[in-house]
Amino acid sequence: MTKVENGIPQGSSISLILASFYSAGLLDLFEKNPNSHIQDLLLPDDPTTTILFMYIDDGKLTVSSKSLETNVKILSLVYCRVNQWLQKAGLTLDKDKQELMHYIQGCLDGSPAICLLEEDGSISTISISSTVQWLGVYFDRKLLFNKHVTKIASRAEATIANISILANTTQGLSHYYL
Amino acid sequence: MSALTFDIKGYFDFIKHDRLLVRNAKTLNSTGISEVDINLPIRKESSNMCR
Repeated sequence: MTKVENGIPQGSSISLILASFYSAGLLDLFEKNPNSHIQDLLLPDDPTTTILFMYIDDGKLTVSSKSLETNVKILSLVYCRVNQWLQKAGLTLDKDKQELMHYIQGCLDGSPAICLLEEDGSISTISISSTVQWLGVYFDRKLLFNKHVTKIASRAEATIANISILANTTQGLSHYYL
Repeated sequence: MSALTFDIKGYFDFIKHDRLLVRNAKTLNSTGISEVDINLPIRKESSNMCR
């Protein structure tokens, strides 16, 4: 635990509002001119507009086209744009929390990874995962949510097991407290 | 469809919030954010606030 000299406490409801104000400029950037980052490029495969979703400090960029290589190229360019905006706002992206997913029907073998230019000039490569976690939900390429159901079910089983221990009638807590 | 998820580092790291409010004040202003509320009074009595 760390002494806090200023600011607002963790979990404060106003932090969500302040965060929304703070990152509103980034969302405006995409909403007002969504293709500004690629408008000078002649990209094949009919790519859609790149969409940015933000929930506080979690972000997601999505794009669709006829080619995964084109998708990766666009996402890489847009990522740079996001990174630049965040740097101006005094923020940085967490290199350890970047995940790439291609939502396709076929096999993911051979699907392209993405190379991202970081603020320090280094390049990080993000490979494909079988599932990605975003806002506490595990997404798989076919949106079957099998892993998510398995994870949540095991978590529920663990909770029930813990309650069972507490409910021990001879040595556990009284049922009054359960 | 392809999706890239990312996370902003230390977004709620208010302990180091001077990093956002002081050093980058000029940058923030250039992005259109007002400096009216930048110099908010600092609370000294909030020792029970923990992350």
